[in-house]
Amino acid sequence: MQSSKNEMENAATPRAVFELATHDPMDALRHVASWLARRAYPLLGLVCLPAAGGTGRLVVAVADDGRVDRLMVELAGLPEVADARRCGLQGPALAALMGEALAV
Amino acid sequence: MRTRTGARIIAESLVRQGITTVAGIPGGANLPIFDAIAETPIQIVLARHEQGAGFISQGMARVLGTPQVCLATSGPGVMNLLTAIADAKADSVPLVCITGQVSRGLLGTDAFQEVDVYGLTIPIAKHNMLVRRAADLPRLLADAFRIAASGRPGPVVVDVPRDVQTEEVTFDAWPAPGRAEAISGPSPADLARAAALLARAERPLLYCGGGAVRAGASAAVAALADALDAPVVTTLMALGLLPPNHPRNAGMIGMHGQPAANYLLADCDLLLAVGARFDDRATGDAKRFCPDAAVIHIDIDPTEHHKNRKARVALAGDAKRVLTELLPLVPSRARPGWALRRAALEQEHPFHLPDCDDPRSPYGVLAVVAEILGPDALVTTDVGQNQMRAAQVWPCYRPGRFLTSGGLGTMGFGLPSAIGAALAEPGTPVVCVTGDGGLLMNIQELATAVELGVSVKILLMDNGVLGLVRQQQAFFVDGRYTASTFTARPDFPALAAGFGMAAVDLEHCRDPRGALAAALSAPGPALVRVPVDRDAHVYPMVPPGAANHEMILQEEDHAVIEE
Repeated sequence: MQSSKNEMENAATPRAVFELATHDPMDALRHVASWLARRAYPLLGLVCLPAAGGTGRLVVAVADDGRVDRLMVELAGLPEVADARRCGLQGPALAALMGEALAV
Repeated sequence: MRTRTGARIIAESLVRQGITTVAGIPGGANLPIFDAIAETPIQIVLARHEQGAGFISQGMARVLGTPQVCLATSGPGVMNLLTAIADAKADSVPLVCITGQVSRGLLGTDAFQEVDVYGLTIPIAKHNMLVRRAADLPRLLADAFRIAASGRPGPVVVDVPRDVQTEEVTFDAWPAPGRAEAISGPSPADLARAAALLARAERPLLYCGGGAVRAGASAAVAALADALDAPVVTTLMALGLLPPNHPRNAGMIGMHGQPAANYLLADCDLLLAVGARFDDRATGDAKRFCPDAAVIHIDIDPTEHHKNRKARVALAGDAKRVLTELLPLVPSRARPGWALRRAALEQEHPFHLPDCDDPRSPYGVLAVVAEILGPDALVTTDVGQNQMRAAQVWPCYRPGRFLTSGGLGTMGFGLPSAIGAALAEPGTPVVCVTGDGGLLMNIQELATAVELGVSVKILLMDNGVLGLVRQQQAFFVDGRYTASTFTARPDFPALAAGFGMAAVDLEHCRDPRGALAAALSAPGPALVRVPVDRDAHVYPMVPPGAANHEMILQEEDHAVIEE
């Protein structure tokens, strides 16, 4: 049962969640997704949260394979990203995101 | 209050940024931009292909060190520009690429000459923008120049729909022109940690790349090397950082680097990387690059730290500034054992290039031209054997004078970038070292060179093959020369003449030195053909995947790989 095996592996994978403050969340979404693809990063979830005034946040969940600190430096360097910080695993948006990731 | 069309805003922004020359090709989707620029003092260089335009702008940017501008229309225009954008990203060249796009109402409809420029350029540009309102243009143009120039430079793409170019808007004031932002340096604690490592090292080595050149760090590198009694090796991108006769200069490392320099790497116990990114062409097998060395990595781009090699201390900042802050913290002392080791390696592995006194040979012609033109000449290369021979033999006395496609390795780079270099420094002789394969990839820019009358002298190493491909086929696939031989070979002097360019063929020349001197001193562009044996290999060569000390050396040819 390949799917069951994948579910078990996904559930066992350490994961990290971080939040990116963005100047323009839609532009940032494309740049962040492209960067994760460029670095072959296992993406578990990505939520785009536009805010008033054209700014917004991205909440990103990735598998923590030991490269997360480096990834944070790289994402913080993108011109569309104003700030990057690692989050805890609490909060409704993050819980929903993590729930989706677990169900992959 | 000011009222302008989007196109006028773009044109006036370029003037405000100090742009004096742009290169590009007009089309339906960027006509208003060209029309508006034509009303300013800016010179428009009409390239014959958008890739040529991109490399002309690169040539200017590499010489001037400031962002330069290229223009392309939508669809095929911008598709042709992509290689030059990726090349600029790989070599950290500041460009602002302004592309025409279909009007906003047609976006996403697969309209005529529509491609997703934004999506296409995300992975190959430093940044990109799709302009949705003309009112945003003053700020976005300033942002584009600021981003292109700040920190680690790179290309920024500004995609402008045609109806944004014609949209008229009113705005209060121009923003300040976009300039490179000041960047912070490393912490005193990190500097102290680096200094302590350097002080303890017995065999320190400075490994310098393009970031050291861009920061103007030559004197700081030499001063620290003196304090440490350490040799300095460079990458291809840092040729000229120290002059060839500088006592600290141990030469270029990497796939075709100097043998003694490549051997030296294996012996160091501390590697100070300065504006270098541990590229595989320089390091060979990364796992066996300086295997016993602790690494201190100075780079303006913190994303380079720990990417290809884990650093003991990572120092983010401008190379010159970091070195200047580091120098007073490092005790000066002689390391005679290390100096003796370097001298022994250089004696054991001398770097003799063949036929340097024969102006008809590939090395000799370069040596003679360098001698005639002197240390101020600008050199551009194509990619392949011509590039590696030029890197090995051209005496680079100043940084930033040897322009080459180091990261992306783009054939076709040489001629258009030489045109750009000549536009940037009109009084300086510019030599384009190229091969027949590379020249044919942007041969159309001969017309641009003639039209501009620029003093670009093309040294064409004509061997009728893709030389470095053939060399790899000889070494690694038992001489099966698949698709690397040109059976139809153009008459290049006749071709140059067809474009209206002076040409000389050294194959039929009784006085090659005199012919070279005449071609170099005549005004305007010229082509010099140098016939080259297609089986003349470039040595040494580090096989792909091998460690740097596993070079194939000339006397051994490919039968033996030295261990």
